[in-house]
Amino acid sequence: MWQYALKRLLMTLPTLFFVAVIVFVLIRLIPGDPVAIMLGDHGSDADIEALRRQLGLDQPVVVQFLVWLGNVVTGDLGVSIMTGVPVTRAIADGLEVTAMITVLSVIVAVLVAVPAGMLAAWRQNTATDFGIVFATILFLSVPGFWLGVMLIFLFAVVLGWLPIIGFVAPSQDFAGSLPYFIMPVMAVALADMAAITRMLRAQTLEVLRLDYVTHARAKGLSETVVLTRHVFKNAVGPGLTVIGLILGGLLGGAAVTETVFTLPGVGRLLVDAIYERDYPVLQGCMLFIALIYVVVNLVVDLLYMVFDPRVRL
Amino acid sequence: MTIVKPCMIAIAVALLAATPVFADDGTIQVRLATDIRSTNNGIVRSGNTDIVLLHVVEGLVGYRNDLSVGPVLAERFSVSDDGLVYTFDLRDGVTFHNGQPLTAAEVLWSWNRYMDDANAWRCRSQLNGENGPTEVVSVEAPDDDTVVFALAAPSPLFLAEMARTDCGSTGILHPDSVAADGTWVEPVGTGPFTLVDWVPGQRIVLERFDGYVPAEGPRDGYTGAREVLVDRVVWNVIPDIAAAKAAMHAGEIHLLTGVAPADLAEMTEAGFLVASAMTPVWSTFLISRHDDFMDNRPLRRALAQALDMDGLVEALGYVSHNASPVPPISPYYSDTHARTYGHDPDEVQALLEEAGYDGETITMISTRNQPLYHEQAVIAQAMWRSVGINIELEVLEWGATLDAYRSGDYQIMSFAFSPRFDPALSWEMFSGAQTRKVWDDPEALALIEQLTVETDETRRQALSDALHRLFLDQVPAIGLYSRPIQHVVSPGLQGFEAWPGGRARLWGVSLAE
Repeated sequence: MWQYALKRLLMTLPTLFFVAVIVFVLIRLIPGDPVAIMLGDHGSDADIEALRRQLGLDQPVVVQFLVWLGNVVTGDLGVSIMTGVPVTRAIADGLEVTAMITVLSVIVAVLVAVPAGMLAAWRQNTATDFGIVFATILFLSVPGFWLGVMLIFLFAVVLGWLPIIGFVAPSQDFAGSLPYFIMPVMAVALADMAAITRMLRAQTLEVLRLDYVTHARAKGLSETVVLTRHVFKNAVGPGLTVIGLILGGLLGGAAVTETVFTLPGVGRLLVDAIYERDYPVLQGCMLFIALIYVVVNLVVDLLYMVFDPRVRL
Repeated sequence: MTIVKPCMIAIAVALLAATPVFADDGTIQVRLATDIRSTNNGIVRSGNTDIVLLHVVEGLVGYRNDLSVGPVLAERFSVSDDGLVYTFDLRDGVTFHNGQPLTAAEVLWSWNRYMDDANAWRCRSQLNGENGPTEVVSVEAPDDDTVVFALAAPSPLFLAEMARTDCGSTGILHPDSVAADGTWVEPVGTGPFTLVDWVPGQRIVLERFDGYVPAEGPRDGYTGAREVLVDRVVWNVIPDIAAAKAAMHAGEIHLLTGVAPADLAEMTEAGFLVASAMTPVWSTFLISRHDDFMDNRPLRRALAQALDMDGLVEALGYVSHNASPVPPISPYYSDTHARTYGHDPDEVQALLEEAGYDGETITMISTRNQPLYHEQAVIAQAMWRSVGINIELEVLEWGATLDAYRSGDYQIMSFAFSPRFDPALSWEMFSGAQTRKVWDDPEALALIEQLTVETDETRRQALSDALHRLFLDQVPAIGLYSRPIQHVVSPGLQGFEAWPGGRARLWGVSLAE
C-alpha cells in the first residue's frame, strides 16, 4: 500500500507541472492586463511600461515561466501583483477559512446523509423514502447563493442570532470563530448532504438485493445488524468517491459561499485573482487546488481498502 | 433519541453564544465592496485604498467641495508672480502618529520617495514633465516650517496634481513608514486616524489619533477641520451587496458607500438615509478613432442625436444629462458647457442618409462588472434601434474591456471616467495621440495644450468653452451624465455628508446616543 501511495504521490509531479503550464499559458491568452487594471482609465503608455518593468511583466513569457517555476520548486509562489502579499501566505490564510467550512460541512453532511440514504433505501417506496428523496431534490435544486442570502435574512436580520460581519479566524479564537461558520456550513452542507444521500440510497438498494444480505436475514439477524454490519461497509465504499470529490471541490474554494458570507477563503482569493489578472495568486491557487484534488483522491483510494478488503492496491 | 437531545442542546448553546452584541461602542462600521490593495498610500492603491488611507495620511493640499485646491498640512501657500515658485508654510503643532513633529525634512523625504523611479508612483510622470506641463525642478526647505517647490514653467495643474486622491494626495509620511532597506512597513502619517489593523479580505481598523490638531475652518472637502468624534472606524470588506444590505438591516453596518441607484429605493423605504453629491465621474460612449467605419462624422452625430438623453438618464435613476466632460459642479461649467446634442429623430434620418448608413451592425462593448456601463448601453441600444441604427452589444468582463479601451480595438464602448478636478484634465483624459484616446483632432489638442499651461481663469474658461463647441460638433465620444455618488446612511450616524470628491470621510461624524 505504501509503495502505491508513494507511486501516486510521484505521479502528482507531472500532473502539477502540466497544470502549471496550462494555467500559466491560458491566463496570458485571455484578454486583460494586470497593469491596465491597476491603472484603470489613468496612466500614460509610459506609466504602463514602467509598471510592467517593475513587476517583471516586460520579460518574455518563457522567461517569466522559468523564473516562476524555479521559485515554485523552492516553495516560493511569488507575491501578489496587486497587493504585494506573498502568495503562500495568502493561500494559507484563505485555507484556514476554507478548510474549516469544508471539514465542518462534510462532517455534518456525512453524519446526516449516510443514515438518511440507508434509511431511504431500507424503507424504499414508503413515505419515509419519498420524504427523504423530496428533500434531497429540494436541497440540490436550491442555488447556494440564494440559500445563503435566506439564511442571513433569517438568522442575522430577523432573529439577530448570528453575525454577518466581523469574522474571527479560528487560529485566533476558535470558539469565537464558530458563530461565523454556522450559516456557511449550513448552506454548503445541505447541497452536499443531498448528493451523498442520493448516492448512499442507490448503493444501499443495490447491496440490499445481494445474496449475502438475504443470507444474513435468513440466519435470523436483526435488520439493524444486517444494515450496520453487512450493508453499511459495502454501500459506503462508492460514496467515498463522491465525498472525496466534494472535499476536493470545497477545499478548492467555495467561492459563492465565501462571497455571500464575506469569508476570506481560497475561493474568493481565486475569483478576485481572475478578475484582477493577478497572475502569481492565480497560478498559486490553481496549483494548490490541483494538489488538493490529487491528495484527496489518493486518500479516498487508500480508504477503499479499509471499507472493501477485496480492493488491493 | 439519546443522541438527538444533546445535539439540540449543543446547537442551542452555540446559537446563544453566537448572538452578536451590537452595542454602540464608539465604532463606526462601514462597508467596502473590495479590499484595499495595501497600506502604501498612493503607490499600491485602488479607489478604496485611497478612501481608507486618506484618513491616515495627509498631503500639503487637498480638494475643497468646489473642486478648488486648499491647504491641508500647509497653513498657507503662495505663488510667485511668474508662477514658477510655490511656497508652502507648514501648519504648527502637527505631529506624526509616532509623536514626531512635522517638519520640512519629512516633506522632502516623502517627495524624494515619490519621485524615486523604483517606487513607480503613478503621478510621478505628471510632476516631472514627462506627461503634461508640470515639471518640478527642485524642492527645498529653507527652514523647518517652509517648503519651496520650483517649476520649470508656470502650470495651473501643479496644485491639482498634488491634491489628486488617486495619487494619495501626495501624502506626507514619516521615514519610520519604511524599513532601513526602504521596504514598506506601515503608514506613519499625520491624519486624524491611525491604522491599527488590516486583516486582508476582512477589515481595516482605524483609531482616533489623540495627538491630532485639526486645522481651522469648517470641513470642506479634504480641507478644513478634521475633528474625530468617534473612537474608531472599521471598514468591512463585504463584496456581496445583498449581504451588505442585510448587515445594514441587522444594524451591523452604519454606512454603505457608493451604492447603485437600483438599491436605493429599498433602503430608503426601510428608513435609511441617502447622502448624495454630484461628482466629476463622467459616463460616456467612447467612439474609437481606429475603426474606419466610425470615422464618419454624420454617423457619430446621428448616434448622439438619436438618444433621448433625459429619458436615458432618468431611467438610470440620475438627475440630468451632461454632454461635457467638465462636471456641472466645476467653476468652469458655463452655459456653453450646458449645451448638448439635441434629440431630433428627423435630423437623425437625414444624418444617416448623409453618412451612407445602410443598417450595418455597429458593435458596442459593455461590461457587467460595472453594472451602470451595461445598463446605459442597453437603454441606448433600444433607442438607437428605434431609429434604425443596428447596434449589437458585446459584453466583456472588466479586464477584457480595459484591454479594448487601451488598444482602441472597438467601435463604441460604454465607459465612465474617474474624477478629474481640472478642466484641462477632463478634456485630456480622452484626447491625444495615445491609442486609448478617442480625440486626436489637431485643433482640439492645441486648445487642450493651451488650457494646461494657461493660468488666467478667464482665458481658461474661453478655451474650455471652445473645446466643448468643437466636441459637440465632432462627436469623438457621446457624453451622457456626470454621476453622483450615493451612500446609504444609518439614522444613527450623524454628520456624514457626501461631497463632490466622492471619497467617504469619517471625520466630523458621530454616532447617536
